[in-house]
Amino acid sequence: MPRNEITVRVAGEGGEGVISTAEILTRSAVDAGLEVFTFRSYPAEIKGGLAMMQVRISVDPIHSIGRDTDILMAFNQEAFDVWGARMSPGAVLLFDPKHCSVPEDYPFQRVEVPLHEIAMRESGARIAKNIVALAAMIGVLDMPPEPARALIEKKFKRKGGDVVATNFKAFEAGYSVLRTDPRLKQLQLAPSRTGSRPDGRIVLSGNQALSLGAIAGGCRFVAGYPITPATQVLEFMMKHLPAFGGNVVQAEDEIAAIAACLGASYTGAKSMTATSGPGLCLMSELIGMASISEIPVVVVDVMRSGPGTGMPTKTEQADLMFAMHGSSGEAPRIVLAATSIEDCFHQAVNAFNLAERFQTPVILLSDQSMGYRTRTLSTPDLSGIRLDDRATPTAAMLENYNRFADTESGVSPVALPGMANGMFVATGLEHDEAGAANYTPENRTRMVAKRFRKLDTLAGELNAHGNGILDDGGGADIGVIGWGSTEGPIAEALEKLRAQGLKVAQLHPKVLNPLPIDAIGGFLAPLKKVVVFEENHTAQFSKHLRSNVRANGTEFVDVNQCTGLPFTSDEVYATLSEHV
Amino acid sequence: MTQATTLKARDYKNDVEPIWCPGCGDFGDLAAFTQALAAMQLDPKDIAIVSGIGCSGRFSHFIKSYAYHTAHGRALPTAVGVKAANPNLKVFVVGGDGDGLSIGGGHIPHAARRNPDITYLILDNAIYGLTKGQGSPTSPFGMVTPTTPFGLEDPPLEPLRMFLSYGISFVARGFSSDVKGVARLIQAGAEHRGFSLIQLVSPCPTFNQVITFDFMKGVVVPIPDDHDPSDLDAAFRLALDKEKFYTGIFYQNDKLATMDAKLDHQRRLTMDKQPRTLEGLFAQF
Repeated sequence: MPRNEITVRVAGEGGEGVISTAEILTRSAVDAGLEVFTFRSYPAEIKGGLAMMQVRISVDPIHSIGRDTDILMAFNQEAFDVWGARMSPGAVLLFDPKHCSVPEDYPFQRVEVPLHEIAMRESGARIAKNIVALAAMIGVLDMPPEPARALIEKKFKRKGGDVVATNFKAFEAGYSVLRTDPRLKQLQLAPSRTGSRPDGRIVLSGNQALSLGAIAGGCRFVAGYPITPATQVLEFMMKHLPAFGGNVVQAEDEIAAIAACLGASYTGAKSMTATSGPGLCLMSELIGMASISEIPVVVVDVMRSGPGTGMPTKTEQADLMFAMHGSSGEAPRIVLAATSIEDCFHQAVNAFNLAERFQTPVILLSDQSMGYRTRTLSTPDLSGIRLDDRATPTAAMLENYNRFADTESGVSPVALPGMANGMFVATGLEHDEAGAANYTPENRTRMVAKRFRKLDTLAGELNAHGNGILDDGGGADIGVIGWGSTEGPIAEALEKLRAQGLKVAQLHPKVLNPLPIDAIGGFLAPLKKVVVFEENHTAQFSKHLRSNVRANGTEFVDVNQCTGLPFTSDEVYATLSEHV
Repeated sequence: MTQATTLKARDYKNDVEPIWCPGCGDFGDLAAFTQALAAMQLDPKDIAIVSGIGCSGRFSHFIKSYAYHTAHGRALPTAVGVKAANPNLKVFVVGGDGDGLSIGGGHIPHAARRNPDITYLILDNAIYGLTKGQGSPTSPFGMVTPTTPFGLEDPPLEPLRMFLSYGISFVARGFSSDVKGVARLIQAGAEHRGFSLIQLVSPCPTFNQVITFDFMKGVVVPIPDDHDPSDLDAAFRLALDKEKFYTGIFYQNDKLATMDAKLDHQRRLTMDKQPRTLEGLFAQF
């Protein structure tokens, strides 16, 4: 009986085609009408080091990387040594005995595939082992081979018909090598429901979705500096934003990047920079500058393991406190966390809307695991996107213009250069309503309150209109809390628990600062216990929550991991099961 | 203000009183700046001044224009963003030697490569004035300051040699006491197509007793009339002169593509090759 879902890991030497093999497998599955969810673990080295890509393939939509793998394709010894033990029950190891030896007492099923030998025999080229491995996996999974063939043709067409023919030969040999192996019958996947890729079904990474969202959100200026794992956003914008009338500058460092964004935003252009933790550190002075001079800017932080250089190619959710507070003094800003690849698109739109409406920096948190992984999803409904623009002064206001007028919402209409009678100085000095430097205690108190009032205004809206997932679980007395990319694994774990008839409440906000205190207080009130999952060591969100919301006796259980890897739904399920 | 009436230098000055000490060299630069604006009859609403931190960083508060008074050392990259996003603005950057050559010094070569059509005035008093007199990157060798109590042992930077090496497309130097001369340099820089950088030696009577007005008057020499500003070698020779402190336009090259032109070029290339609608872009995935 074929299965509806399977997870495959391909691991081996970085730079030798491991990732592209898994990418073709992914694309082949999507073109066959299947659903995918992928995750990559990159080595820090440019070439060499262990690379791994995990592809979860399913007949029905999936939301997380799932559990450990059902198939490990180990290209070398290190791939086996690192990943060989992390297998699901009943999993199978596929390996080339030429490059990998497996101990006698290895507890999982092992199947030898002479990748190297087949590649040399069929094509005479060592590198063709990638195609052999791809084909062997497609054979084992019983996926239709046509999409992969088409992708191979597309990939090698440029190099000439001979190269395509040689790769086809390698593909056919690989495809048949294990296809009918009786030991692997349990790995066969059911056919897709559609047979081919349905219209509007696309494959995106988190970084791609976020970049698309930025363009949809009206972004017209980007300045950035390359940094793993955020570089793809700058690359995407370089390639695409100018076609939408925007400008992109590769800056000399992160400080220059955000400085240029503030300059561009001062003129009215919706501006963004994308970085990771170390870059956010460098930007922190100017984030404070943007906050006091009330310049909208979107700062994307695709978080990686820190501090220092940390583990640049590994994931973590440890920049939250820094995103909220990093600056001299107290600098109000909005912090958002995208919760899924799809949500990267929507939160990017939201980030621009909030930055423009509240004239303050918005830090949008993503992370390495979400930025790099890909999944199938439907093209978002573009007609439903609503864009907010900065409030500008009326002619009457300009007669005696106060750029930083102290208003009920905290937001003051801003003149843009070129506007007659709107001239003012945006300054990082404390200033009065007109923008003139002013250090009096009364003015200082008033202007700090004015800027922070913008967050109160937003928190009020979130209390009234919601903020991500806030579900009482139908009268549950246990709850689960997460933020950012843990949404998928938590959702799958909850699905399993609820299928067993268990009640669990769930909070998964998208705006992390400011928090809608009243709504969260109401969520916590009936709960005896909440379990908070975070990929950091110090339970940053849990502490943020507890310092703002009265817990009234609700017990907080903080579940933290900072392994560099995201939580799996199995891990979340196992932990939650202990508490429910 | 409309362009129908002729604007005078004083029309560009707002009513904010400068915070500078009496006799500060920056007053000469401020006067020269308003004269240059009047000479060009720029509309104040189309002027953006970006300034950094330091005594001269306050410059932008005193002019009738749009302005961004940003963080220490970051005026230049901020101005790059202003100009990239709105090429119609006349963009000036104003800051001191500490702001521009120490904390912000790393931004200059990169601005030089981009060649944005902006004018950067470095008001050089060879001292940190706002923090009360510490040695700066252009303070002379041996100078005694609170941070160099036994005399500065590092040689000063020589900004003009750096600027010429960076390939900045307009390099000039002036002396704040020569208001008319400085005004002419600012106008020439502003009218130059590309990045213009003008070092304006502006003595600090309060904290710098070495680089004084009298000292400067003794060494300043106008660049000879026969100097050809398109000759980079000649510009270097003038900048390297140990005896004379030349003022005027050292180098000018208006044949380099500006940042705006390059961004436009990128846009045309991208528009040719990539989708211009979100629907089209999504279809690529």
